[in-house]
Parts: sequence; C-alpha cells; structure tokens
Amino acid sequence: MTSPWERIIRGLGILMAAAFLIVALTPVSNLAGKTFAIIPDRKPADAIVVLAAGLMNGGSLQDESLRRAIAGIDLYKQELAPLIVFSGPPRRDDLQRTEAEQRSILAQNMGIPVEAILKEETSNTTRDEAVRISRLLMHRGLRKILLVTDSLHLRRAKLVFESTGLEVFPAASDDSSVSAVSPKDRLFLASRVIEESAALAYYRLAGYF
Amino acid sequence: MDNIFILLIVAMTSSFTYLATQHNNRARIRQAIGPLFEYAGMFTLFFAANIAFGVLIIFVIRTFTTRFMALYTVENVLLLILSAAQAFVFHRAWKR
Repeated sequence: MTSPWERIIRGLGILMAAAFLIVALTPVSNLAGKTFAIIPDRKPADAIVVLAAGLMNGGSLQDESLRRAIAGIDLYKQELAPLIVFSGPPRRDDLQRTEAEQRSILAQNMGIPVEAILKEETSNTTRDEAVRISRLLMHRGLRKILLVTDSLHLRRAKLVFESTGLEVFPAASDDSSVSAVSPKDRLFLASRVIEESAALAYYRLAGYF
Repeated sequence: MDNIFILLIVAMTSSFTYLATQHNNRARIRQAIGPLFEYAGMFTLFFAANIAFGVLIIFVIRTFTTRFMALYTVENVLLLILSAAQAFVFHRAWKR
C-alpha cells in the first residue's frame, strides 16, 4: 500500500520524466525560444553596444562573449554606427584583464580604430550595464543604439536599456531557437528560457523597467 | 534520427538484460520502475530546493555585504550531480 506522500513523489517523478523526454526529443523548447526571442531590427544608430558574457580562466573570451563581440564588429563594418561600446568586467580572480579590454584588442586587430571604441569595465549585471552605458552615451549626446546580446537575453536587456531613455534596436548575436537540435542543446535552451523568464519577472518586480 | 538510434540502443541493452535475468527475478525488475519515478521526484524536489536556497543566499549576500555574487553561480553541474546524490541517499533511507 503506497502512502499519499509516495504517490505525490512518484507523480512528480513521472511528470518530470515526461517533461524531460518532451523537451529533449521534440522541438518544444525551440518554439518556446522563438516565442521568447525578439526579432532583430538592425538600423543605423549612434552606437553599437555589446553586452558582457564573461572571460575564461586565463583571460580568453567565453564563446558567447566572442560571438557577441564578432556580431558587434560586423555591425560596425556594415557602417551601421560610428562607435562601438564593449562591456565586461574582469574575472574575480584576475583583476588585471577585463572582458571589455580583451574585446577591444580583438576589434582593433580586426581593423576598428581605437577612437571608435568605448569600454565599460565595471558592470556586473544587465541593469548596471544599462545605467552606466546610458550615462556614457548620453554624455556624448548619443541616444540610438544597436544592442548586441544573445537572442534570449535580448528581451530583458532591451527593456532595461529603454528604461534609461535610449532608443534600442535589437541585434541578436545568435538564433538559439533554430540552432538547438540535439537533446543537450534543447535542454540547455529550455533552461535558458526558464532562467530568462525568472530574471524578467525579477526585473519587473524590482521596478527596473 | 540520432535520437531514435540512442533510444534503440538503450531499449536493446534493457531487453537483453531483462531476458538474461532469471525468470523469478523479472517481477522485481518490473517493480523497480515505480521507485525509479519516486527517485526522479525526490531529485526534482532536492534540485528545486537547492536552487531556491542558493538564490536566497545570493540575495542575502548582495543585500547585506558589498560583495557581488552572480545568480549564474547556481547554474553549476555540481548542483545537479549532488542533488541526484541527495535524492539517492534520502530515497534509500526512506524506503528502508
């Protein structure tokens, strides 16, 4: 005879096993990702803002950081804006190198003049990035930005940057709803959608936008 | 197609093992499916509790100290593995 507690735990287990199989083996997370992402709107702007994604131990850019930096450099090369802002603090265990500096070096090596690059090296959160970069740009009389980050982060980032008074044109560095095809990628995509939904709710509750 | 291939491999090794098991032990294998889902349920509870507790601690650290700790800290594979270990131990203890 099973106790009610056992039945609840077993039911939860069945539910989670079913959810796991559905997410891993069907395109349900791709659909969720597509719904969550916002459509890119690449237009001429005053500046390109490339949000942080982290450094690896040793100072190399994380894959996502590199993808965003390249997307930003590409927009600059298309002459969509005359200025590019790289964001990114140092790692906690290596304060000598910042992510913004590493990206700036990469951009210069790819032919972007140093005077077209601005760096924001102190922000730890998306909201901090919005507040500090907005101040940096508005001080120069710049208001229109092309915002570069991954497709799932873009919704929250756009809202929080707009709340600082900037006009934002979204420019995703990827399209994860299309690229996730293996079970591992689909599970990761689902976890990112859940994570970003929670972060969006938190930002709303905190009154950040 | 790749996924079907993987599912087929698992189905085949499970079938071979089931057929190789002595007849009187096969019922015990069928009975083990229920506890598997109980274990999955326990794992879900521990994983959710660990994430919620981790997020709470991070907010406390951010609120009451000058130290910044990213919420992404809880996005760690170790938490997944340790939650599975917790679920295994507590499930075993619960069923004895």
